[in-house]
Amino acid sequence: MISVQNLSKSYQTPGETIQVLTDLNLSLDPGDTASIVGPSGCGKSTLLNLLGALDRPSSGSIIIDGQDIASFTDPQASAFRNHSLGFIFQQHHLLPQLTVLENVLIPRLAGDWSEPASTTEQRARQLLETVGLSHRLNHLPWQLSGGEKLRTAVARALINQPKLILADEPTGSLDPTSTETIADLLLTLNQTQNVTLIVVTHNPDLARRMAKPFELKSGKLQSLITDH
Amino acid sequence: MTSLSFILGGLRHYRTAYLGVLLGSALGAMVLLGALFAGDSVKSTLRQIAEQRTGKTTIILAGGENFFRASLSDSLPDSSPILQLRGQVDRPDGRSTGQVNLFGITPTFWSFAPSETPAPSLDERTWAINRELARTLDLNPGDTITIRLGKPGLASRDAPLSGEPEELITLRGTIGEIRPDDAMGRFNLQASQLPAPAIFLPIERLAEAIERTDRANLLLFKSDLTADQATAKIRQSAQLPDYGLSLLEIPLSNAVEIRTDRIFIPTLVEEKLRKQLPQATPVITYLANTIAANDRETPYSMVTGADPSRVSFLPPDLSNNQITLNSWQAEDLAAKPGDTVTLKYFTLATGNQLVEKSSTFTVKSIVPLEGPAADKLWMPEFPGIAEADNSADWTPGLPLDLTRIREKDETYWDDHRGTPKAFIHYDTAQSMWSNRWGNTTSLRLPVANHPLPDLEKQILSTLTPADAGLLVRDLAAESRLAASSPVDIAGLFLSMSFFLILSAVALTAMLFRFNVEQRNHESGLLAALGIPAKKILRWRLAEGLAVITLGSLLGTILAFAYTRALLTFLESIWNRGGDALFRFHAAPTSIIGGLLGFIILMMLTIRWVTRSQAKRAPSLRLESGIEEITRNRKSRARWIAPTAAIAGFTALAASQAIAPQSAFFVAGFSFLIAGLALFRVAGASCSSPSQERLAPSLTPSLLARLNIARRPTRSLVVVGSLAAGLFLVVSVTAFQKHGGDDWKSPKSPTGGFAFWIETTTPIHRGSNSESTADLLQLGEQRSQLGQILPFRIGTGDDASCFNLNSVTRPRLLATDTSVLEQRASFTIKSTAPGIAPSWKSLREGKPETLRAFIDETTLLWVLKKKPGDLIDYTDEQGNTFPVEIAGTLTASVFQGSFVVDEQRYLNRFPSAGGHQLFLADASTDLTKTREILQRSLTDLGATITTTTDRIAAFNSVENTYISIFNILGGLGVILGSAGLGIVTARNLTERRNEFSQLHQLGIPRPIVRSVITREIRGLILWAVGIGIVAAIVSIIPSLPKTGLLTTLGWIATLALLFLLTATTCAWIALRTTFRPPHPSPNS
Repeated sequence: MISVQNLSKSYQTPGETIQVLTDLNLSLDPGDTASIVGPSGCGKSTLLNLLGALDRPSSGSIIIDGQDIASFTDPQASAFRNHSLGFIFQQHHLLPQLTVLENVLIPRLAGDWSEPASTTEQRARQLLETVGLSHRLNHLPWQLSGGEKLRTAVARALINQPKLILADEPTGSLDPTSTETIADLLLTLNQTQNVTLIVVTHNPDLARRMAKPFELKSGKLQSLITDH
Repeated sequence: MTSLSFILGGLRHYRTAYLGVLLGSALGAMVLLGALFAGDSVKSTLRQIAEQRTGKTTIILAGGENFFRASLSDSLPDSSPILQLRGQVDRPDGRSTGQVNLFGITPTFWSFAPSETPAPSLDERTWAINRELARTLDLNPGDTITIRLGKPGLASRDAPLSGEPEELITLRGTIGEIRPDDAMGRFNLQASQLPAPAIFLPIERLAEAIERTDRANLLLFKSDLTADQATAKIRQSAQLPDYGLSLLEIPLSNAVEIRTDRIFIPTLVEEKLRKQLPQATPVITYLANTIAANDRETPYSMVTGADPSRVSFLPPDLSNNQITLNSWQAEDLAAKPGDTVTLKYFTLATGNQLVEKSSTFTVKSIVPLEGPAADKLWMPEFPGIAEADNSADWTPGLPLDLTRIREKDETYWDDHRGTPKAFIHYDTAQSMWSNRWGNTTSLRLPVANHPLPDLEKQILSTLTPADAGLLVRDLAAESRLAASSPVDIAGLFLSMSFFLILSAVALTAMLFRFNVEQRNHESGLLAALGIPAKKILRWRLAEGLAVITLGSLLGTILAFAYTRALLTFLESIWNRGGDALFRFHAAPTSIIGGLLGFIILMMLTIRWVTRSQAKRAPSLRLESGIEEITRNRKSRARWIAPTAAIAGFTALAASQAIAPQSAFFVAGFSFLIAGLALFRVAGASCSSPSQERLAPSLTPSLLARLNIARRPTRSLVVVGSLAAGLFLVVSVTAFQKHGGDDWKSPKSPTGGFAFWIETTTPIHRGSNSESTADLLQLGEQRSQLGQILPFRIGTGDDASCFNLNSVTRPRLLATDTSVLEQRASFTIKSTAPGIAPSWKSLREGKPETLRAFIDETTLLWVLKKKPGDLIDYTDEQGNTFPVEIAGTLTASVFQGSFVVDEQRYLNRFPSAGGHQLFLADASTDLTKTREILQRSLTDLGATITTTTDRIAAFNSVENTYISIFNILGGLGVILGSAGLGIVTARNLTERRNEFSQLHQLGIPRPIVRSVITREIRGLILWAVGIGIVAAIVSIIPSLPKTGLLTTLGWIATLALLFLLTATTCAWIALRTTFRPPHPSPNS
């Protein structure tokens, strides 16, 4: 499903070149769950952005479902994200002007979805019901709690029925109970819909609940599962 | 959810943020459309005035001082004759006004009105007047008025033997009706937006008063003819009197004579007739002041010059220096063949002076006073002589000493009238007496070969109206042209509003960008969710389009009110009281074009600012939040600064080659750009990590500078708006016209003259003539004035800043330029290549060209030409000739006119009337002298203005323009200050967490406030520096030499006002936004 080979990413600043990722390798199968931990500034979000085609690597390849997303043009990258990827951010990034249901439907605005709008809307309602927000469909983001906002973002990440979900600190701003609920939700989705899940987190409990935990250190991923 | 609902949702949610964009768009559109509407209103008003001014007139036949038969109109369909004169109008209570158009008309005249209105009932004593005259003298129907006018001569009053120069006629009548403007009340041939006072009375009444029955000097056509077709029709219907000619049988000589009522047959007419009629013999009869011989003399006698071979009683071999006396004359002088005879006579010299000259002859023969030699018809009908009963009653218009006339002279007059007492060769006579009006007083032909009817036909087939000074003009086309391309008010206001519009666009775009920045997360998220960047950009632009369109529509509505305010300003320049001159008009093309243009401009701008944000990677936008995403533009700004500065200096250096106003704008714009680029470089240098930044001394000052550089675009927009506003205000203030205190200096705009006097009645003879030293007939009051310099007012329109119409041929003012040369009057600013900067140069150059000096302002703004350019004029005979712009005068009383040399002018316009304009010296109390002159010159219908008042009037027009500039610049400053306030408020709001952190770190509140204050002060000082330096450098070449201290004082005051405004706006923003930090940075 995912094959990352010799991935490097560096940033040029006025004073120096900052090497964030160095010859990083990663391989995941469909339905895998993975977590990435590491200190702040180690490049976790950078890696996630590269996996989500939000940014381009300095070198190396990222093969997802047989496609090298590193070589995508901007429109190809957009189409890839729109059809094959689900993104969950720590800050949720819900649009304040839209209702919960509308926020979930945002990806459809790309305009090239083949299914009827009613089908998507029906799925959005189901997803919101799944995440426990069926009673909040017409609420605006400021009327939601932090956990509800995150659950809305989860529903939005699933609206395009992705094969891969990238979650960047999904529980960073939640209390332990909400964190547990979100973790359960993500893992349930992984099991029921066979979605590959990559979670960047600082939360060791959440990290541990993923089948393949990694630590990003010195620009490289190291598995946290020791072979016995 | 669709794209549309998404966009509408965005608009609804961010409506507060978009309010600024909406208002900015409204302001920009208002200013832009207001300028266009002002132009439309002026154009529309002028078109309407042109329609009222000329009515349905298409073609005119204009004679000026040359008259034709009013009945000529009878054979020309759709025509109407007019006898147009000028006079002074008095009320019974003594109030009076000069320069009133007197129109002697027939009832057909009213059918030329643009609107159908009933013709007034006029008779000998019941006249119509127009609204302007009614307003000027506060007249109503039923009031009695008196017209005073000078009786026009048969020939130019300047011509020798043209009769007594001054004869004032008085007419008394009652006002029957006040004609509205659209009912021919505004009829006027001069292209001006200002109405001229006018009286309409029956043509017969006016013609009778001036003793010119059945005479007119203007013929209007309303049929759809071309000028050539009209000319052909006029030629078909014209008779000899229309050319000022008549045929007279001379029975004693068995001849017929072609005569003119203008004393001398115009040279062109003579040439054409002699070519057509080879047998015609020219004759010139002239008044000799003295015929002397043998210590005896005979006063005031007629002498004839003729071809001796064609005159039966003259010796065929009469040579050029020989003379034949009649027997009476020979006896009076006791002269016999071989004796020497001296003739004394007046000729015209430079300056139109009469100079007595003498010529000596040898007596060739003596002829008896009988037969053809005793024919009284040798003498033409000289006015003032022909009709006199006695010699002592002669009034020939020459300074004669009639006491010299003896009893025997009276007897001769009684018996023989003007029979010549001597005959000389025609060639000699021509060399002695020919002048600019012609070379001959009649042409003689043998009657046997030329039956009168045939001769008349031959003459009529030879001549054209222009030969007799009757010019056919396409008045409709002329007035259309004048009204259709007037002073480009729209362009003027657009250029005046340029920086304001620019500021409005920049600030609006900045506000829009705030919105985009505020929604960076949203854009990043949309991109992360796979919405293509182009689509996101389109949504942003669609929101922008909606807001900008709404704002522009609001601006369009506001533009209606704004234009009315502008028109009020324009009224103060061009209206001299009475009804409102300008009528509001907004052309659909202006509304649609202006609106679309502005929306497109705004859309391009916001697309530019949005696109630069949209180009960033989604991840970066997600992370940056509301921070401005910048690229390092330092390197680009580094070359922009010097390049723009070089462009500015180049424009200044080339200000002589290109129009100075363009040079000023290019230079100003370039220096502003250079200053802003410098600001950008300074900001980038400050914010980029360097050795300096590693230094431990982080001070409030450095932090403030870093903060300015943190959001470079918004800082740039604020500094740019403020600097542009300040630049405009300061630079145009420097153009304020002051002065007038140095009017006694010959080099000043007054030329050292105190008064500008215009008379309704033309005055004849030059001021240097002994007999006409008191040219204005001031009598005892002559001592009030020093030198008086007379001018002839020639063809052309007033091109001064008082006339809104497009003028392509400014009025010609002809004077004795040697006087100006001697006085070294006025400052000649520039001349065409090869022409010396001296009044003398106007008397030089190719003879076919008339050289002229003109006020620099007129050349620059009205004619848009440069020294050396030529402008075609039409002379008295309808021939085109070039007026060469020899040079320019620094601001002068002559604004709007070409000053030309009188002698060279008279070569082209020999029949020109007398002087109607006078510049006069005075050294005593001007106010008192003016009052005395006004009383003394009442009969001449004189308007007396001090030259300083005239200059002040011109200055007031320019200063009003400058006031408008100042207001627009002031609006720019207010806009910039508002921008500063908005940016301050925005920065403070966005940085609340930052202030909280500083607070938690124990940084005292005064220090935080000091950092903010320094940021604001930095922006203001940069703006002041850029604005003032750009303004001062740009205006250096144009800085007035007079009133420099006043100007600098004004600049300092404006800079202070600017600082106050900007600081106040920022302070308000600071007070309302900067709150005590919250305890937790996360809150």
